[in-house]
Formats: sequence, C-alpha cells, structure tokens
Amino acid sequence: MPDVYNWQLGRRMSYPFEERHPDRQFAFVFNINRCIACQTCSMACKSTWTWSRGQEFMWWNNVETKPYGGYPHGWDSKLLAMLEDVNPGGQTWGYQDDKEHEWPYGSFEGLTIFEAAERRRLEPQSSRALGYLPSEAEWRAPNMHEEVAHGPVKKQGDRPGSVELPEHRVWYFYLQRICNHCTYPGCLSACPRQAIYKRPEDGVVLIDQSRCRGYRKCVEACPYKKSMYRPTTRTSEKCIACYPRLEGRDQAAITPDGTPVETRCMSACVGKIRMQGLVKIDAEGKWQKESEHPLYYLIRERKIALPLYPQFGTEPNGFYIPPRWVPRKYLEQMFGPGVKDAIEQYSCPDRELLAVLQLFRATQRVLFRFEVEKGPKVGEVEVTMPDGRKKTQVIFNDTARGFDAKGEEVARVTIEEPTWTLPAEHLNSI
Amino acid sequence: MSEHPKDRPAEPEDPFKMFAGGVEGDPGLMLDCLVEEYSRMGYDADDLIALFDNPEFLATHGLRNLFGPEETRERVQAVLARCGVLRVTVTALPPENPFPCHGS
Ligand code: SF4
Ligand code: SF4
Ligand code: SF4
Repeated sequence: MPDVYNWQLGRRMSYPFEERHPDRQFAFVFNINRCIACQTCSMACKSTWTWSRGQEFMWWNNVETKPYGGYPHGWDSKLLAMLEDVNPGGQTWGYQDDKEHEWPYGSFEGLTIFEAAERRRLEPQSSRALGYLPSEAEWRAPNMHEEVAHGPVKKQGDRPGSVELPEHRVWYFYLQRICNHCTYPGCLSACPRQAIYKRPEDGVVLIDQSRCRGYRKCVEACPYKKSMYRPTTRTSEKCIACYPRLEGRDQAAITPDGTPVETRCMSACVGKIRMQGLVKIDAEGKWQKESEHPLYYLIRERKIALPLYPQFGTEPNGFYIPPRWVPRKYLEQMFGPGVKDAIEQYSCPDRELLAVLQLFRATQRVLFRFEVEKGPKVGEVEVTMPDGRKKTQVIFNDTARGFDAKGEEVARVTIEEPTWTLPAEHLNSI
Repeated sequence: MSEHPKDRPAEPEDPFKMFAGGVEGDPGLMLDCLVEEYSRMGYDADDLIALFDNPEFLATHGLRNLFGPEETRERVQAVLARCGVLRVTVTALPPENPFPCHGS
C-alpha cells in the first residue's frame, strides 16, 4: 500500500491509494458543551434527504448519548475492541508536541484501520480496512441504550439485570454525528466498484449511485458507520454535505448571490453548537495557514476542537470541542491526547477565543474570515474549570465580525457586558 | 409450569433492556457547565429554566428530572450569581430570511 501523511496522527500511514488532495476541504466544528439534544438537526436532515421508502432507518445526522448510546449500536466500542484485538496494548499515543503544528496531538503509535487490515492480511482487496457490518437490529433504534438522567437508580434486583448505581454519580453527554468527509475515507478505500469519490473542489465524499451495486463494503469499512444501505434501491447512501447549499446553488431565497450557505443540519441547530467551513489545503495535504479563518483558528491554531477517534486513521474533517464535565480518560480515548489543553482553554476562554465562539450560528452564510475589534474591559466573571475549580474570566466589549466567500461582512456579534440579576430579597436594598 | 418470560432475568443481548455500568462523574458539574454555556449566549435565569423545563430538550430536561425542579432552579441561580449573563448583540448582514426552507 502507498504511504500517505496523516497530520492528525503526526506520521505517515498506509492507505490503499496515492495521496491526492482537494483545493478546499469541507470541515466543521461541533461544540458538544452546548448540545441540548433536541434532535432538530437530525430532523432537518431527515426531512430534506432521507424521507423516502427504504430510508426509514437512515439517519445521516444523528445525535447519540455517550458512553453507552450509539447508532448503529456499539459502533465505536466494537471497532475499538477489534483494533485492540489485532494490536493488544499497542493503541497508544506518543505525547510530543510540535510548534509547527505538524503533529499537534503527538504521534500515534498504534495501528489504524488500514494498517490493522494489513497485519491481519485481510483478503480480498475490498477488505482494505478493518471493520464490520452492523446487523439490521443494530441500525433499527437510533439511540438504543440512550442515557437519560433519572432519579436514584433502583437497587439491585428491583429491575432484572440492572445494577445499583451510586446516586447522582452518572454522567453522560450527547455526541452529534454526520459523515466526516474524511481525507482518507475508509468507505472509498473499500469500494470494489470505485463508486465513491472525493470532490476536488471541496473534499466532499459522495457515492455515485449509478456505479454502486450495493455490496456494502463501504458500510463495513467506514469506521464511523456513516455509509448506509438502502434496500429499496439496493445501493448505499450517505451524507452529501448538502452540497447544493455549499455550492451556493440552493433556492434563490437562501443564496441570491451564490455564496455558500450552511448545511441543513448546521443551520437548524437550536443550541448554536455548529460551525462549518471550507479550509484551504495544499498539494501535500497540509492545511494552509489561515489564522483569520474561524475553523483554522479553532482547530489548528488554538487546538480546542479535536477530531473524533483520530486513531482510526481516516483523518476525519469533523472536529469537536470536548464536553467539560466528562472524565478525561474517556475523552482521550475518543479525541486523542489534545483533550486536556482543549478543555483548559475552552473553560476560561481569552478575549479572542470568546469572540470567535460567538460567531457560531450568527449567520447562515459560511464564514471564510473573521476579525475581532477590541473594546474596553467591562467586567469579570467566575467560571468552572474541568476539575471543579473556579477561575476568573475577564470580559471585554469586543466585536467579532464574520465575512463570507466574497469578503462581504455577513455577521457581527458584540459582547456588551456581563449582567447580574439581584435575588428578590435584595431588590429594594438601596 | 414454566416461569413467565417477563419474570426471567434479562440477558446481556436483550435489546429491550437497559444495561448500565457506573462511570465516575458528576452530573452537577454537567448542569453547572450547561448553565455557564448558555449564559455566555445571553440566556438569563428564566430562559435557562425554560430550557430545563422543556421535555423536548433531553439533555437539560434529563438533569431537571435528576435534581428535581427546585434544586435545578437553585443551581441555575447559584451559577448565574457567579458568572452573570453575558449580554451579546448578534447582527446578520443583510437580515436573513427567517423561513429559508419555504422561499421568500
Ligand atoms: S465518515 Fe465514513 S462515510 Fe464519511 S467519508 Fe469517512 S469513511 Fe466515508
Ligand atoms: S450535511 Fe446535509 S446531508 Fe449531511 S447530515 Fe447534515 S443535513 Fe444531512
Ligand atoms: S440541533 Fe444542535 S442542540 Fe439540537 S440536538 Fe442537534 S446539535 Fe444538539
């Protein structure tokens, strides 16, 4: 297999095809800390793209609870166990950092899904990535075993098979998932018909429906299980990154001037947790330095948004701001060694970071550049750090401005000041 | 007579049973963090309580079920007493169609 460079792993790795990179790459940041699990995103996608016969169990966008939920059920824990089985005790990171951002999370010393398949000597050629085909039952319930906080859990024996959990000691969070439009897609690597391709203009990964014969090799090889089989057409389908919107070709009412607008799932997000963009990629696959691009800034410069299971090796282009309240060990398995630094920074953001975070969902236009206009200090507030410590955050009257593909200003967010409401008993105290 | 299936202990593969294991963590911290997050977006106590009360919002409503409405309100107020509510003004330029799916 040829060698390709995977910046998220900080090293070269085997991949079935030669490196070839798009000019720009569709990428996104999801801020897990703000998701309230309303599922509006899931419904926005479903009502746009997957409402037909044969697509009943198909959720290109889904929001699942962690640690126990998942769609399809157990997708991540199953693959992690398979990798561990091929490389027992070896799925670890070396924790170096590098100023040039060439290996921002250190170097991954374990095996990717492609390397694990090589070690296993998986045959035929279409099994070039370690994976599995979920059963129909696993697809059927979008969030089987979903966590919901309840009152004190029943004692052992009250409910057959349940275990006694310490009162008020359970945690959970919601993980929002769409196709990651990976740089080295597992789905693409496995298709015997070469029906899957990555668009050179924006890196969106698509399945050519006229070539697909429904062999489901992509379903097996996608580590995120985001390629799905449709029995009525006998083909596989997946998230298309709402490309008509990305190209600025959606209804005239949304993009009268042809500038890219956010996808359906992003623009519908109630919690304003989502931001998408198109980042510049050079011929070697490196992200070109664009410090004023909000995604470049959050992902490469500040490193507060991290890839989901980077160790799988597909170089996913979806990045997550990890939830502050979740145990570090769990998060490190999911997002790699960058977690500690990301959460520290995010919990008490400095003025520039706070300003950029305000741009999430401020407009439907895809942002290509931001500017921060600095204002005077307007206050101090106390915030909760991941270990429960309190820290003082300084607030400034800053304004974040966002610009679209044509360089037009399309959003402006001003932080005015922190305000406090006095408790009722103090209202007349002056 | 054989025992009724409903009385048999569930098996680990039973898709209709919830199986859980304890994982160390603190849902109180989760609640505090969510309140801080939304206060950064300009949500005040009433807005936040509405977020916790609404059963459509599983994350916040689940926590309200766990702590109960009274304690949830107290916790929201305690966090806001520390971190305040960040007043922010958001302007989309030009103003956007609020119903983009249905044309202009
Ligand atoms: S997430 Fe899966 S379906 Fe999407 S590009 Fe990556 S490997 Fe393919
Ligand atoms: S980007 Fe578009 S197609 Fe993909 S999950 Fe979101 S709404 Fe669905
Ligand atoms: S719409 Fe946003 S807040 Fe609601 S579930 Fe989806 S990602 Fe979470």
